Amino acid sequence: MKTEQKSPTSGEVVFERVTKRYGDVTAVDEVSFRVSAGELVTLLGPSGCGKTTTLRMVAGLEPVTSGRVTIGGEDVTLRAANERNVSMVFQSYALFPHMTVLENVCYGPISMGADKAKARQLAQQKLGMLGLTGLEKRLPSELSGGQQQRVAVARSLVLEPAVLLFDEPLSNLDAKLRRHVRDEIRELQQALALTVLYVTHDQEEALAVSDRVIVMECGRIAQEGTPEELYEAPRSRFLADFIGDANLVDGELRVDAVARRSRRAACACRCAPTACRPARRCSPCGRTACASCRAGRD
Amino acid sequence: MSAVHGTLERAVFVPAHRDRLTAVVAAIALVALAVLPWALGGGASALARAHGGAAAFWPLVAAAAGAALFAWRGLDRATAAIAAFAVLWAFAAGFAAGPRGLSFGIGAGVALLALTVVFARAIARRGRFAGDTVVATVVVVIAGLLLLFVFFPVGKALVAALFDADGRFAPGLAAQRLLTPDIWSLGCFAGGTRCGVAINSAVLATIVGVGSTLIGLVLALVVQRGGQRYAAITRLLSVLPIITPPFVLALALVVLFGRTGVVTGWLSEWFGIPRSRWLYGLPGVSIAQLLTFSPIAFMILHGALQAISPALEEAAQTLRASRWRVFRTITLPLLKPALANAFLLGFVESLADFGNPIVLAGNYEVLSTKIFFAVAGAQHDPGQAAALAMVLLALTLVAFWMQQRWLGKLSYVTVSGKGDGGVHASLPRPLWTGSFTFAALWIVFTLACYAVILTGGFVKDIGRGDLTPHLGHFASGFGVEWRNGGPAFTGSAWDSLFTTMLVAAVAAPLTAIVGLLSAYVITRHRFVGRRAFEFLTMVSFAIPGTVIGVSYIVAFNVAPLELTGGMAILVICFVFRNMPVGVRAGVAALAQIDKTLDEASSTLRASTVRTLTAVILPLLRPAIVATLVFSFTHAMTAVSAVIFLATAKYNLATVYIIGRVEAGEYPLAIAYSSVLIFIMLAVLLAVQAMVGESRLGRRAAATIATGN
Repeated sequence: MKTEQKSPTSGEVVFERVTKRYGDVTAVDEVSFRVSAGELVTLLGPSGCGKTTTLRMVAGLEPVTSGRVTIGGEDVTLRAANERNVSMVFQSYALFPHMTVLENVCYGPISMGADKAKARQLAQQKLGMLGLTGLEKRLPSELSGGQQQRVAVARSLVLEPAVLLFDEPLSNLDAKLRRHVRDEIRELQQALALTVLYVTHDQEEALAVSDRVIVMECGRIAQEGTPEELYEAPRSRFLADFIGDANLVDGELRVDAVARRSRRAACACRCAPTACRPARRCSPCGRTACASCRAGRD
Repeated sequence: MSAVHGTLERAVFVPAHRDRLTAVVAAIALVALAVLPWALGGGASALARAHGGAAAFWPLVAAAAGAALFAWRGLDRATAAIAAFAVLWAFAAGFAAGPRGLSFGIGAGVALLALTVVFARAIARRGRFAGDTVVATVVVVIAGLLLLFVFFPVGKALVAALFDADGRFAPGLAAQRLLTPDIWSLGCFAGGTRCGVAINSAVLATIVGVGSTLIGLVLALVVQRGGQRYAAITRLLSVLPIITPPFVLALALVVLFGRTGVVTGWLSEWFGIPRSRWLYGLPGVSIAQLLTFSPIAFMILHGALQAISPALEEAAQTLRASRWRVFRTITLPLLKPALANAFLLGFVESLADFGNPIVLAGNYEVLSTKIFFAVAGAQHDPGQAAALAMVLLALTLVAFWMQQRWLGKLSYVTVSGKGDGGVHASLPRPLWTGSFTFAALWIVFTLACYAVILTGGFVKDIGRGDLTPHLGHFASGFGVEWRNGGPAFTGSAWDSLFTTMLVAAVAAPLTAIVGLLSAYVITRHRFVGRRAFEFLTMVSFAIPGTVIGVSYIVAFNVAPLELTGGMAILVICFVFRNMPVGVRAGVAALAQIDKTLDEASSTLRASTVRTLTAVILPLLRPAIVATLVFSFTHAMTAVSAVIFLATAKYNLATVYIIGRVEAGEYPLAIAYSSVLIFIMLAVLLAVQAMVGESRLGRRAAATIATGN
């Protein structure tokens, strides 16, 4: 079955009240969000918060327990991975070790029924775009970590998917390279107007690379917003502590003494003191509170 | 399909595209019913028979047509139901007709297989097996084959124990058969009379279990603690059991120590020790089985000794423990699980062994040979054989159950994360000297036995001590003449050798396919009933070959599944007996291949079939080769099950050799055995040369696959 190649901008991911349960354990709990076309959205959170499960449900590697997933306006809730217009860059890169770089990148088009010449042409184009020309005949074991990572990106891009998924793509790179590749991914995304969903547990990486960030905690969305919003107006003690360095000051809350915004913060930190209890809305002011003070912008 | 907002029935994917393949497969079933001869031995097709008045075929034909129609219309639930009905109806009608009825032939085979596939694909489209039609097909078809070729025959044989010779239900007779003193008598312990056959088997198995564990331990201590010098012993002992047909060592013992044996002759000439038949009976079988099975104990204990962290022994030494104390309080206790494992494996192997007792047991009756004589001997009493098979199976299962229980509790993890450096403690002096001496003698003894087999064919009559060089045995067994411009294989052994190689060559790839596909679905896919399926695939490992042989005779001698007498049943027997090894090899190899490779393939739009063929299979090459070699050599050396199934027309090498032994033609038997050993050694070396290279390639690959 040869599906038509959609332009990369047509992808919009919508998650509607999606839940994933493994037996009694709820990994993702009624999560709803939207990734607009051409946007790079990061799923950020500590390990075990459900972010990778969420990504895998977008990819179709895990079936959802309930809820609805749409990609590019099409309901794909019941579609398996190989029937969705998405591609994924894995944490381990998952390059096929017995195939050359070119064979790896040709794999997708050939799976979709392209002939060899066409597949090779598509692959060469993407390899050139990522500066990998000349390495076609190498095996993955003969590449450096950074090169492997780029081959993995080229392999995902070659199908021009509606959505590109990244699962902690930088965690196997050394610190210096990490920054460089991060910027490259962002540039590529903006140049091609790709829709990208990006999973990481690294706050700095998330703030640097994203249009919007979704912070997850215990299978739920803790807060969603632009990097600036998250940095400056964390809704809970967890968020204030998790994103960036902050001085948390406990104190008593008085209406007249505190600005409106910080009162919101104070409220939230009272209402979500324990890790896995969902944050509840709370009354505008209370007796004790904490304020987060950050260095940098005033 | 509209999206679901509330909780889905199950968390599954449903294939999007219309499923033409199911309709095509259903159509194949219909064509097979219409065109291919339904029954064994040709004749009319099912449709023609139905038209000719055999009313039982109408529902089948109608159901197949219905399945094709429903599949075409995309009505998956109806398709599954009607395909299942068709298969069940065919079997029910076949069995209802009884032994006088028709036996399934090519048409039945194709149609029923196709309908099973239709059923599997249809239930996958209803959401079973995570919606994966390929996985569903693999699981349903393999489980069906296992039920048909392992559970059905064994079950039927066990039930046969409850019926008398005329096929009447006879629980009294069954109780009598099962509880007879012939089986359970403890007379030999009280002195005088003989023991029952089950007691005999258990005594022998206990001796062999304990003995082979001790011998294996001694050899392992020498090799492991003696350093690199003795690595050759490891290689020798790991290869010998693979290439040795199971009666060869018994044969060597007869030639050396029998009444007219070489050593017996020397002893009587030089020391005046009278010739006797001491070898035939418990002593001979025990020695032969110890020679045969101690390499297995050695491999287990060698691995366990290697796994003991040297740091533990060093720690004990720094705590002022003497070498004895280290050995007694650290090394030996840590070996306990491996010792238990080695014992039980020796016990089970001895119980199931047929080759050594048939040559050496004499009047000492054991279960495996007694089962054989109950079927093949003058008495011909399948009911008696079935009862004995029941006892043997029960003993084996108890041993396996004990193994599972003990090992579950006894396992110590001594290697954790990082490998410790350090040197293993050396053995206490006297222990080392004793072990070394014993190990050396044992190895010399083993080599002497092999030397007898490898040279015995080249002398006039090694069985009677006549050592004049002579090539006549090879000439009579493997003579080739040039006739009419082509070679003519006039030797008496050629037929059986060719049949054996053909059967082994056909069975090996089938075993690999069935075993590795099972391993793939077990390790890579989650589905309801996965544990049950895994259990199904492993069960035949615990069933002794003799039991399988009897079962096949009982179950596949009559319609509707009349298979005995042909070559197919030999292949089927080998495939399902050796399959558990393929499953294990596949599971181990797949554990080394990162699962994200499958997922990457899937997100790149590859179907399950493409993922299998383009990603998994190439990476599984070493496991595939290992399974091919194992099932080939096992098919070449097996005796216990196939001795029931081989016929004059399709004889097998091992069965032929046993026949020569029973006729007293030792030289030809020995010459043939040496040929077998050489063939298998050649296969093994050739394959090792091949796999050696691919291993190198894979090691580099493995580091990528795990992403480090």
